[in-house]
Amino acid sequence: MTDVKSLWRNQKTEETVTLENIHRTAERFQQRTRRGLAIEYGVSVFVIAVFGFYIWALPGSMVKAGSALCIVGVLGILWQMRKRMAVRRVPDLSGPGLVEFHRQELLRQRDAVKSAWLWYILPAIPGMVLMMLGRWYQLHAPGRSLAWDHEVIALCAVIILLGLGIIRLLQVLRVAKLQSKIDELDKLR
Amino acid sequence: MDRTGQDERYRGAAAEYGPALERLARAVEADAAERRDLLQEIHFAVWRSLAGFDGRCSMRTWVYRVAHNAAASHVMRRRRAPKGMSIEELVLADDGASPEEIVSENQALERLMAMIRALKAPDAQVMLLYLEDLDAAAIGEITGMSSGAVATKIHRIKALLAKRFKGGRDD
Repeated sequence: MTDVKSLWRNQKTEETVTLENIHRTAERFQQRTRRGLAIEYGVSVFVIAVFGFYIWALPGSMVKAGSALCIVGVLGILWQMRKRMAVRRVPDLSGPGLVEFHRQELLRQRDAVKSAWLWYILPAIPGMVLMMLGRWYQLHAPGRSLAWDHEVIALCAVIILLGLGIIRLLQVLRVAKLQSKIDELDKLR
Repeated sequence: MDRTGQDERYRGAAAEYGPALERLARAVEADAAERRDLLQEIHFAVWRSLAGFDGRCSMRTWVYRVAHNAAASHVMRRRRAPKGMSIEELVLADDGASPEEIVSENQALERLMAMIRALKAPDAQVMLLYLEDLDAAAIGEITGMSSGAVATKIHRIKALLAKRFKGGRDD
């Protein structure tokens, strides 16, 4: 064996991809895109329906206002996710080189996750806080003492805060991972 | 461009570069079923891109770049993608097999595939394009790396191949 290049180029190839398969893939690709959009709109409609129901069904102006703020917040998050996190199509040719393209994508993702507390966590907070305050001051669960009711609300608030804290921690870890991939690419330049 | 023209261009590109695309898929993906899907994906990416082919570069550069972009996306999407080594690290690493142990072409190809899969994606691309007999300038145009960086990597690839393959010619 003397020439590795010849060995490589002379290996037997056997797979065939037909034009019909390509056309079918193109149709599936379009269907997937449509399905993705449908899911996104479905989530939006579900969120609006749930909090809309709260506005209609739950008493107390603060809870109603909180629910409305939650709708606005979640819609804002969806809009931001679409804007910041959407996967860009790999450029066919006219864009930057492959390494540069992937570096730009990693930078974009890193910056999006880094600032996620601002656009992913913060928009959800005002509505939830207002709903909690509404429960605290305006709604009292029947059959419970006021002190017990307040303890339940405080516990819920702590659980929500812990949940948000865990989400933020995962985001911080994700930023570190993305940064290490960027550093690896930078070594290649 | 209408779909018929796009199909016509694709037929020409697939006839000329189909085997190279298959070798690319084979090098990137070890699992047979996933490899078939990847090859399909690569062909689809090439077909889709040809609607916008404007002739500012050669068809070869265009096809390789699209194909390598699709393959790189596949690697990055893999859930448990190995971290990968640089060519420099692979030159220093020992895979435990001596060149004398390679007696058949199949063994040599398997060893070559293992080496490519052990590399970080950009280094693997340079190596694959080198094996397809492209020069540093063409590889640079496809990968977006400077031709100087590509030349350095090719130099190390040659050293690696010479070390791992008995009598591996370093041309």
